[in-house]
Amino acid sequence: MKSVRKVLVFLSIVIFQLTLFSACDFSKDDGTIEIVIWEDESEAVRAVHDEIIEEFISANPDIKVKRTHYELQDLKSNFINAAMAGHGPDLVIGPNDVVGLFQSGDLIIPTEDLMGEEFFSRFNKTALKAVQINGKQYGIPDRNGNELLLFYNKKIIDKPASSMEELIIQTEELKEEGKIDYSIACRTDESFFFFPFQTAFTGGKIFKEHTIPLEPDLDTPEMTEYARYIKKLHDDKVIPRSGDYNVAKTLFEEGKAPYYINGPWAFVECDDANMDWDITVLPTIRNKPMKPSSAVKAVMVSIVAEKASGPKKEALIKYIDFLTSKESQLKLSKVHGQLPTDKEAAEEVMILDPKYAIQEEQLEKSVPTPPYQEMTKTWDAMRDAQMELLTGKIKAEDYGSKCQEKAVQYIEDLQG
Amino acid sequence: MRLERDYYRNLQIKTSKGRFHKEKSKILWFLLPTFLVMTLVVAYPLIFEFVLSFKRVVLQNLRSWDWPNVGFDNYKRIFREPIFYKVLGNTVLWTVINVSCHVFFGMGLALLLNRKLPFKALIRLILILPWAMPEYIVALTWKGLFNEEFGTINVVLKTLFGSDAMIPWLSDPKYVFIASIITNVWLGIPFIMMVCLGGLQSIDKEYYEAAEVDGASNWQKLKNITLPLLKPVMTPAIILGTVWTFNKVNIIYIMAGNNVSDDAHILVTYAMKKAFNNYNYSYSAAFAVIIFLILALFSSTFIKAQKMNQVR
Repeated sequence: MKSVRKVLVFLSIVIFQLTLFSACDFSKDDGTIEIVIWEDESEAVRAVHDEIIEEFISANPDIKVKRTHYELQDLKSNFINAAMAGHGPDLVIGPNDVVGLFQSGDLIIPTEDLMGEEFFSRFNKTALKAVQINGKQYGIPDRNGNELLLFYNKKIIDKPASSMEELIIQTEELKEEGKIDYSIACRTDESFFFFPFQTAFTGGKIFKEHTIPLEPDLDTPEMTEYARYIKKLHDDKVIPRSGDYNVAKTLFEEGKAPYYINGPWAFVECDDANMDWDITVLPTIRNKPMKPSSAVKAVMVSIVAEKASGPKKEALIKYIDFLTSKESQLKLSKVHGQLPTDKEAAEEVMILDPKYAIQEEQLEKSVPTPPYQEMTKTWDAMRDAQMELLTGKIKAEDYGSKCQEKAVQYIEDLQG
Repeated sequence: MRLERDYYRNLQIKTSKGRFHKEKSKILWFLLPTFLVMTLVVAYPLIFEFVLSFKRVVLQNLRSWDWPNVGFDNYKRIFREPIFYKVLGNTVLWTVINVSCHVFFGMGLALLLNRKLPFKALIRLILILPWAMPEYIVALTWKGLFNEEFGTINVVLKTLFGSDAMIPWLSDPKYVFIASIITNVWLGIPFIMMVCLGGLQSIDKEYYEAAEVDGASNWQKLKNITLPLLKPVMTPAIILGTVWTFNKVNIIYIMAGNNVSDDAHILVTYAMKKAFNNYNYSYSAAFAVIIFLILALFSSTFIKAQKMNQVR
């Protein structure tokens, strides 16, 4: 009887320990090298990325590439938590404003350490600069732009407006006839999509000049003017009363708004919706250009991969090289619609498709996003103040001070 | 003879003492795994959180583990900021409205289901459905209904009263809060209903028969028999419901996305924002400690009050 009890107790302990250990990751050492990637790409880009992975694996059967998708906010928090615990991906793909965030926590490493200086010669210099912090290359950009453009429905609009004043007059009649609900479909829940309107008043200034860390400079008379303008557009139903990405997209696709402000990543969506559409540069407001924020998307190397050596290091170099190669960039460019950062690939797509030339024109009239964590927090601050302005919680006169107050508070939070 | 009796008595005591110790140590061995698990998953995080709340931990120094002590600075900052009182007020409002609606509607439906009804099993199944569905799916479904341009609710309002009647459910913080409450009320009713139904079915029918003999009305039966006898079942359910509702992140977070305005926040979502959007981990830990203390105080007071009522 006693021995039976002992066996039972022993078994319970073994099961308990097995349960505990099952949570741990003991990968088999079968000679296969695994590269883990986390990204925030669109569905179409993910599909092409998977094709690239398959192609890479067939040429390198001893390397396994595992791709996991997250929405941007989840990508940020999940990566920070995982990297902190010494886990998570080897590579992260995200926009350049998160580069500063990850770099401030020492969660990514300079890519020159892994790839060598020579590797970067084939990339566009402006794109490379967008992911440089303190002179170090914290990411490898694989597309240049991220800029917003003006889409228009060719079934409703023959000739796109070149100014907001013209656009409003052009769409007013259609609204009165009940043919459309709004003039322009755009997201109202992100400051990024309102930023071009803001730049027509502020010229794109967000931070004080020559200060590192960046100091917000948003409490200005120009911001008040901008707030009055955007509130009027909102009240006059030029822009939607509210809307996330899907609402804006549906308004445009269903013809309820003839114009649409979005980026090149929406090209595929418009094609999928069988629309007759085109793009043009953003219109002017009171003769001042609307400048979108431009950025790059980059491949970042996680701190987890810092200690990679031997075959793992070689595999990482091989895969980054393959993913950012001219051929891969050309494939990806077809779905994300942005300019490749590989110089040869960029030249090639511009000859093939006039949309890239329009992008190039818009990029010239854009404000580069600084790759610092203060930028991420300032986007958040402007978004929160924008929501308060549109819902009537604050007046236009208080908008600038609200943006400033929140931006300072969020940046202070980061610094503790 | 006497010696012999004493000898056996001593032997019996010794044997039972030995057996007692043996039994005791065996029990302790069996408890050990549970104790270890509880230490790992409850005690350690709790203590760690307390410690964290007295330090300065932000993204920049997170990996270095070099976290300076700041004493009560995080707590002082929280109590100094007006937003804390605003969010606390929201949390109390959120909890009171939700729990009251859960109890009121849950108990009402349970009383209804405790009677003879046609298709009772089917009705019960339908009423339990919100509980069986994953919260995430429920919240997304309601979010779709509240969509400002294409949601059913606003489409109906627009058809009936014109476009000015459309409500900014998901952009105005006030309406985000109301939409979240409606969703959470819908979600929480089945739990209270099931608990209450179980309690109702365990009440001896003789009480009601005796009351009927005495000529008691339905209201008197409810007030003097049903409610007092439901109390032992409802007390833990209400405490649990309150704690769950107080700490409910999902609904508000899903309804408003990442762009929850401060006006729509409750304590726990605000703490989450500070930790995972603003990366101020120690400030967020201090917030969590305050939430823990509020809930601990509420639970102990509520239980004490219930016990005192029972004694009376």
